Amino acid sequence: MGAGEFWNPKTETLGRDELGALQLAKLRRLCEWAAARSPFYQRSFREAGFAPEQLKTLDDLRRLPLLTREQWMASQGEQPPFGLLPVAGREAAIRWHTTSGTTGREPIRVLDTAKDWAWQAEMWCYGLWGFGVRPADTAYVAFGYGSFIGFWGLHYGMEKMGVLNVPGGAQTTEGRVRQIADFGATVVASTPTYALRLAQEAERLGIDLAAGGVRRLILSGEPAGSIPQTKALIERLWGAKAGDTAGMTEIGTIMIFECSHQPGGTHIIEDHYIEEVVDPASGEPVGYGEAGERVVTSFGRGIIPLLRYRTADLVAKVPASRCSCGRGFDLYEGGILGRVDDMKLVRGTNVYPRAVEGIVREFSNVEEFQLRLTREGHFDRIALRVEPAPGTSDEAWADMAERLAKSLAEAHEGLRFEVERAGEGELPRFELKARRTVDERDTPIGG
Amino acid sequence: MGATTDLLGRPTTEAEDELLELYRRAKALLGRDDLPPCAQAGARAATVALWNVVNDLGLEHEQLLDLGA
Repeated sequence: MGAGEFWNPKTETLGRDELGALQLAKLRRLCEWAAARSPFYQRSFREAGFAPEQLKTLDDLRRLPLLTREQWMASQGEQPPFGLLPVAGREAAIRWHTTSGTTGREPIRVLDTAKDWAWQAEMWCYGLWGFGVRPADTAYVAFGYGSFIGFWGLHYGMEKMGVLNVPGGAQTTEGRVRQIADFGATVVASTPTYALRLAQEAERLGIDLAAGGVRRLILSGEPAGSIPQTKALIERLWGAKAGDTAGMTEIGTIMIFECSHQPGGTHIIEDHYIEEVVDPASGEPVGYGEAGERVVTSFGRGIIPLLRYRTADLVAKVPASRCSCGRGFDLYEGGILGRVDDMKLVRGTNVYPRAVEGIVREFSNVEEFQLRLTREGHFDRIALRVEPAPGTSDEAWADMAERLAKSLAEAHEGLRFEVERAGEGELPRFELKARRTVDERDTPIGG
Repeated sequence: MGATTDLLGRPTTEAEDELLELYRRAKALLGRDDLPPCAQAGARAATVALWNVVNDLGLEHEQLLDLGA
């Protein structure tokens, strides 16, 4: 691989020792900044007996206390609207964003200065360039451009790279499909769910996406971009390569991206972040290849220093050598595997929504689906509600339902999934983060 | 000229020295209090753009909040 395939060849190809030294240098400065300016960290450092001068090696990172979302939320409650983490108020910022609110919880509110905002676009440049996007491309951003941070950074990253950029906000799905074709987009950015939705709409309109000009899809916002069956389906429907990325409002941008070698995982942008993987229960680090909770320290956003933030994302880190691209950045195998609290316990069997989606996506005739958990007396039920493609005959549905139930049972220790047919257009559609698991039980039996 | 080593203690290249010098000049300009709004906004944009470069290349890592960025 030549240097032309890296956005920043100097640091993307550093050896592990040098990368660690760079992280330590940045970490010291970030901690000094937080200790000097952030009321939250002044208090938490004091309570933990931590001082920045204690950072002699990267292992000393573990002297810092972990930060949870609950602490952040409590801080927002203590000092509305932004809490005690920020080092300055709204007068210093140029952007105000919030988390998506898809969980129904009170959103986290974040601010960005001009420098922070430019850095966020920079992180997208690492990922976009790494997946093969170039200035000659025409990008279509299928995103609503609201207060959710989503693809905002991607938009500015595209502009920074010199890509011709088409903002696809305030459009119907039909309108977006037509614009993608009319404007000759070569790159499309969307959530994985919405990439499928766009493909369904294109089929309805008689537009053959696979025969069109789109060569790359930039996926973000859901773990599905790294579910092999979902990714394969998206790539087949679009006739394009699909690259996974993941970010979060709490850092403002992406922290991982899939490179053009598509090694089955996403590189961590390690010159701008320290990513730890810990046992969710003990907080102790886990080794390469072991699944654990992702904990992020970000060197980017200065107005809200983020040190050892527990993300609740489930990941498994593997060494950089797993990929042939030449980057020194470690990877998360399979991207974000889900949420630490994603697992559902049904009659003693663990059910992971990601695994269910992997099975469902092997059936190309599925338009949309939903996993529904209910309780009758002391008996938990799990139903997969499926909306098959329009025009699916009763006979074809019966065959498909039988095979789906069999595959799901085989993957779940014989657990019986009730596979039900949903009417056309009955199940919800999603533009941002899909929520396909509905758990109507109070407390899982045995949970 | 500016620093002769990066954050890893490695000697900087000629191009990196030039970038650092530009960055420091942009910061100095942004710190002035006699700029009209159009010049101040441009100086801020230039400083932020150069901050990203020197940060990416491991030449400097600092905050610009006190300069309004």
